[in-house]
Amino acid sequence: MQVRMIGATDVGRRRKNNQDSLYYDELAHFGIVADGIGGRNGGEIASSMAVNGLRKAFLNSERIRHEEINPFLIGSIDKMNAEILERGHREPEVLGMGTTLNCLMFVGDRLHLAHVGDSRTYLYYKKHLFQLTLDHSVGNFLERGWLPRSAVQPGAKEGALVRAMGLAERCEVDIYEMELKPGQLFLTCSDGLTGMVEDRKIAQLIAENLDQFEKLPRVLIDEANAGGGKDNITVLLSHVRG
Amino acid sequence: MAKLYLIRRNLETFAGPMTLSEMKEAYKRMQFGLQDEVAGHCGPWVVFENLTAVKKHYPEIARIVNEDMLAGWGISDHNARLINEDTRRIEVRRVRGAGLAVTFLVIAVVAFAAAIYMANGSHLSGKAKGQQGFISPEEPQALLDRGDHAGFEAYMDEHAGEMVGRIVRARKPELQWLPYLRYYAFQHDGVVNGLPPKYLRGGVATAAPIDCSLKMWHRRWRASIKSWNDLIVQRKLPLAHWARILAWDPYWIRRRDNRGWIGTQNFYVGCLTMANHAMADLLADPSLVSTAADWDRMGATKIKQRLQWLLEMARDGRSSVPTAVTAGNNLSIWTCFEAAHDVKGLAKCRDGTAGSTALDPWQAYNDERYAFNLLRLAVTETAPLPSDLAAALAQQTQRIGKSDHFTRFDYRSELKLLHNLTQTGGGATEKAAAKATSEGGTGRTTH
Repeated sequence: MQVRMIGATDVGRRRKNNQDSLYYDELAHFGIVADGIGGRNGGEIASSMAVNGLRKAFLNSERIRHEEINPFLIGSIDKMNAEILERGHREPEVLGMGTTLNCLMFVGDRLHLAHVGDSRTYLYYKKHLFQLTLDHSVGNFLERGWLPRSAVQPGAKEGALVRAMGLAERCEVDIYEMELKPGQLFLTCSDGLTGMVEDRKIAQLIAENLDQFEKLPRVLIDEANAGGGKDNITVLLSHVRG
Repeated sequence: MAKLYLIRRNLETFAGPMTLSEMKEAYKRMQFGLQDEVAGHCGPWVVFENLTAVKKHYPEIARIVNEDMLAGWGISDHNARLINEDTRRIEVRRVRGAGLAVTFLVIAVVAFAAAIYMANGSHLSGKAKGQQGFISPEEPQALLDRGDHAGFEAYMDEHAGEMVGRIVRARKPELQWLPYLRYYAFQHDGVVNGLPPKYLRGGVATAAPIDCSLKMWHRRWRASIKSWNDLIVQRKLPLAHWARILAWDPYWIRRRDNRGWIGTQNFYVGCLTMANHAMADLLADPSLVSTAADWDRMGATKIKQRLQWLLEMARDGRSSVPTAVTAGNNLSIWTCFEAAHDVKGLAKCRDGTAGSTALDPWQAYNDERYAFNLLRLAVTETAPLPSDLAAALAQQTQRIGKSDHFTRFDYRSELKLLHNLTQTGGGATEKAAAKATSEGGTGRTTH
């Protein structure tokens, strides 16, 4: 399958620095979006460590067989998680930093998607938009019964992250696989987009601008900024062309 | 353009996007199961089995879930009328006046017909006996009372269809047949032809899946193979019936009401029996793996061991399954909790679960199970609570909720009992215990 990729990141209208990180390689069919968390520069460091670490691991890897992709993703994320934690312990000013991560690998006729945190990947297909990933938030975990209420501190926000890289020694990763079909468009983004633009509006903007694929990330970012731009905004689009 | 839906299987893979008709076909081809999730355009993910949520978000899917997907499984929707669980024998009313005359007339006609039939050199065949009007609950009950299981089986083989008709098709369902049909079903494959599973489960065992047939468990186990080690090794809690059943509390099951069931059975025991059989079938299937070591690596033997423990404990109150915590087997921690006889034993099991963050759902859940097992130890006490148990319970008050959030088992009756124990300074009496459980509908009776 041929996959076209285009991405962009923006600081937004409220933040002083951009804690999101983005990397994509259209030829290698590989892309990563990370959204850093943690005060001062912590989030920025954590997200760039995650993206750079995975990028290096991918570029340095030998040819990966199908069945080795998921272990590769999990192993690389575990390694970067340990490095983020270790740096946090070493440098008190960035202690507690962490990052979300969405990593996409298109191999043959399949997408392998690694997901931690609340950055999202959507599938757009024939004017329908589906959120593929499940946000690792307190609200979602409580609703699904994966977290007892007794484990949540009183006053904790529903959107608080239960899982992210750098939060704990164990970093649980969701790995999704999907069969590719021509016409599918995968939108991977940080919560700076989804917090500002509703899903239906995103679907509408994609439908209206799909023929200008290169401009589409900017269109989505502009909409998020028009809605307030409260957070950094990162968008990565991967279009399956058959 | 037709609406499209996407199906998410085990939070790992996807099927679709597809139309409603394609979804029906995909279900027939077993590309997904009722434990999987579906989402529409810009809509939330909902589990097929959660009909209330499906109805709320995708009413067009709810219709085909009911009419097509569940037709074979016979699930009911959540708004369906609950079955009256009181299956005590209905006393034969004294028929008076005209009714009496009609009854005598019917009896006379039947006797006359039988006399002519026998006069023709034939005997009443079993088939004739099975015709409407000739069966009575006293017959299967007598066979069971005599311990004549072969006779009971033969009787049910012949008359189950008639009993089902009297429940499903009658204007006033004859629910007194249910105990026999349930017993019969769970001696075999967890189904009775024509009887929707909602009748087998009833309205009480709501923490269990509606369909606990052998066929459904075959599907559940096969569909979840890749996720087993998430639970056994990876400290995840997959929100699926296959994972929940492994977390069931056998003591809680033993304390539940079994009105409408025969002997030591109830729906949870029946469900465990079918899950255990299905897993044994899977382990014997040579087409799936090449060696027994493969099954071991995938976690099947650990699941089988856990199921065996749960079934024996829930049904018989004892089991010979090993109960020590073993490395790489998270299920053994739960078994260890349940096998512990005192606070020290429980604490020893708990030692093997430490070493994670407070927000680790697995750790939090094990803490919860530890607390519920303290509660289990307490409710068997009638004398003042031992001091170590009272102290441990006092520390865990916050963790003991009204229900287990994962299995959805309701512990309110046990909490009431604990309240009585502590309020009376540990001097709860048998009477208080009985009161607490009966108010919560948990008094265990035998049919």
